[in-house]
Amino acid sequence: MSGIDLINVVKRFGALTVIDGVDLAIAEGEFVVFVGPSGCGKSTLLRMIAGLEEISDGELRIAGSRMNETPPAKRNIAMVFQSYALYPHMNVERNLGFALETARLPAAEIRERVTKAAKFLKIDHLLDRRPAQLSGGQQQRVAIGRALVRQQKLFLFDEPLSNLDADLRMEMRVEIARIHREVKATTVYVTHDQMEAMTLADRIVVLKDGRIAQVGTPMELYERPANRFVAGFIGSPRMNFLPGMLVREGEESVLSLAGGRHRLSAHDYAGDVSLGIRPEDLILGGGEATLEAEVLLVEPLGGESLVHLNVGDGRSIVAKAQGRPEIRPGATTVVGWNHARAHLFDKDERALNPRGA
Amino acid sequence: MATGAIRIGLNAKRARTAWLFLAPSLLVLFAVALWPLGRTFLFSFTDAFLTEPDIYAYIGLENYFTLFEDPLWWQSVRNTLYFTVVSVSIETALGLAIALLLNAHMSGRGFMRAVILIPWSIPVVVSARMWQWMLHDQFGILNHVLKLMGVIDHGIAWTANPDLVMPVIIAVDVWITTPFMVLLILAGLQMLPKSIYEAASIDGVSEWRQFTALTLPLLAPSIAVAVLFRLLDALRMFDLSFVLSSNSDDTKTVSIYAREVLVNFQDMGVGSAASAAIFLMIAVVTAIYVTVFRLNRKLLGV
Repeated sequence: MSGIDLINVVKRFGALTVIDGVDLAIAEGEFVVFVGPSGCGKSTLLRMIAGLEEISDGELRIAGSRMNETPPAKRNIAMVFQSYALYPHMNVERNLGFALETARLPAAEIRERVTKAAKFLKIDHLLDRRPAQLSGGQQQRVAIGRALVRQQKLFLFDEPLSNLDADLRMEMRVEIARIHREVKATTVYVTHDQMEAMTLADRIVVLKDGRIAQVGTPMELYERPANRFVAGFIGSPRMNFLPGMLVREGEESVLSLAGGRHRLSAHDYAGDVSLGIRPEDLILGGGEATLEAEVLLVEPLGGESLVHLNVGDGRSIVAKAQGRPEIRPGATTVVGWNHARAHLFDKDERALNPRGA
Repeated sequence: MATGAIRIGLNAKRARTAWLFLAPSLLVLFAVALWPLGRTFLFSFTDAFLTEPDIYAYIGLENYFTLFEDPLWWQSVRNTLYFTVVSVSIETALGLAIALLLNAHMSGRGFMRAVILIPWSIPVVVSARMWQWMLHDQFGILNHVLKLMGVIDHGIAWTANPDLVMPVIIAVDVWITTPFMVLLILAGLQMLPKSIYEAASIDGVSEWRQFTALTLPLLAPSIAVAVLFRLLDALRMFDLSFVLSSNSDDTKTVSIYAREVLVNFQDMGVGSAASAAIFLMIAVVTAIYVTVFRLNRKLLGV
C-alpha cells in the first residue's frame, strides 16, 4: 500500500493562499501528473507531499497514515528535482550511494544497488565523473538513479525535464515511462508541459490558482474538458474559442455566432457561451456547420499544416490540415466542423452538455 | 590564412591595450611596494644607521647572524606564530558558527548582518584603546562588572600580567576580526545550492551529516581563502600588541621587533634584516598553505 490521499489540503504563505483546498486520491502504482501554468501551485503541492513545505490545513496520508507532521526522511519517498540537486563534490558513484551510505547499508549491497541502477540508466561508464563533467541529460539520469537506488514505493518528480533541450526531453520522457513500467512505483510528476502530461500520465491533475480544475485520464481531458481553462490548456495548438449566444427554440437550441446560426440538440442553458473547437477538428471547405473565413497564413509543418484564418469580426482561429492545402493567404474559404467535436462553455466557463447527455 | 593574421593582429592589439590599462597600477605598485622592498633587502646587507642612511658599507650576512643570535627575535617569532595559530583558529571556528547561524532563516537577519560588522569597521588602534580602557585595572568596566558579580575582590591588571596579556590580545583580536570571517564564510554559504539540502533531507541524511558531508567540503574553498587573508594579517600584527602592551617581551611580535631595532635602536641594517626575514616568513607560510590547499582541492575534487 503506497497510495497518497490529499484531503482538503491548504497552503498559505502569510495572507496568500497558494493551495486552496485540494482533494485527491492517488492509487498505488499510479502515474499522476500535476500540470498547470506557472504559479498554479503544482510544485508547492508536490513539495507538500514530500514534506519540504508545511501543510497549513487539511490532511496528507501516505499508505493510509497521516503524514502532515512526519519529516521528509520518514515518508519513504524519493524525489527528483528540476535542478537535479546532485552533490557537486562527489562523483556519480558516491552521489548514487550517499543515501545508502548514510543509512549504513553494507558496502557490498550499496555497490550492488548502485551498479544495478547505473546499468539500468546507462550511466555505468560515468561512475568516476563528477556532476560538472556531465551533460544535462546525464546529470538527470544520475538524479533519477539516486532516487532509484533507495527502492522507495513513492517517486516524486519536480519538473525534471524543463532544463533539457527538446531532443533530450523526448528521450528522457521515454526513459521515465520505461522506469515507471518496470519499477511500478507510485509516481507524482509535476510539469508545465501538457505534452509530457499527456504522454506520461495515467491520470492528469490540471491545477489553476491553487485549485484542481479537472482530474482525469489524458483522453478524458482531451475529449471532455470540464471547463474552458482545461480545454485551452490541453492540446496543441490550443483550442479555438468563438463567442456566441445560445437560445432555446422549442425542442432545439440555436447557437448564434458572428458568422451564422446553427441548430443544436436541446441544452438547458441559454445565454452567452463560447464555442470551442480544436484545430484538428476544423475542416477546411466542409463540416456540419460552416463559417466564411479569410486565409491569413499557412504554416507548413511537413506532414500537416497550420492554417490561420480570420472569421467574422476579425477573430483569428487556427485549423490543422493534412499535407499542404492548396490555399493562399488572402483567399476566402469556408471552414467547418461537426457538432460532436465542438465544445460549448457557459459564461462561467463550465462545459455545457446537451440535455440527457 | 588571412583570418589568422587578423586574429594575431587583434590579439596583439588587445594585449597592448591591457598593458596600457595596467601601467598606472603597476607603476604605483612598483613605487610603494617593490622599490621599498628592494631597498629593505639592500639595507639588510649593510651597516647603515637611521641617523645617516647614506653612509653605509656592505657587510654581507652579518646582520642576519646578529638577528638569528638574538633570543628576543626568536621569542618574537614564537609570539607571532602562537598569536597567529590561536587567534586564526578561534576566529575561523567562531566565524563559521556565526555564519551558519546568520544563514539560517530567522527574522532580523539583515540587521544582525549589519550589526556584526561594527567591530571590524572600527580602526584597530581605536579598538585597542577602547579595550585598554575597558580592561584598566582600576577604572575599567570589566573589573567593575566582575567585582559587582563578586567574582574578584580587587582589580586584575589584564594587560600588565605576563600570563594574561597574550590571551587578552588574542581575545581583542577575535572581537575585531571574527566579523570578517563571518562575512567571507557567509558569502560562501549563500553560494551553496539549496536543493541539495532538500534532496539530502528527503534521502534521510541527518542535519549533522549534511553539515559534515555537504556543507564543510563545499565551503572549504571559502574558508580557505578567509583563513589565508587572516593568516597574512596575523603574521604581521603590530597595532594591537603595540597599543595594549607596548614594551612587554611576552607579546612582542616580529613587526614590533623590527620597528624597535629600526626606530628605537636606529640600526637600519639589522632592522632591515628583520623586515626581510618577516617577508620571507610570510612568503613561505603562504606558499605552503596555497600548495597544501591546491593538493587538497585536487584530492577532494572541488
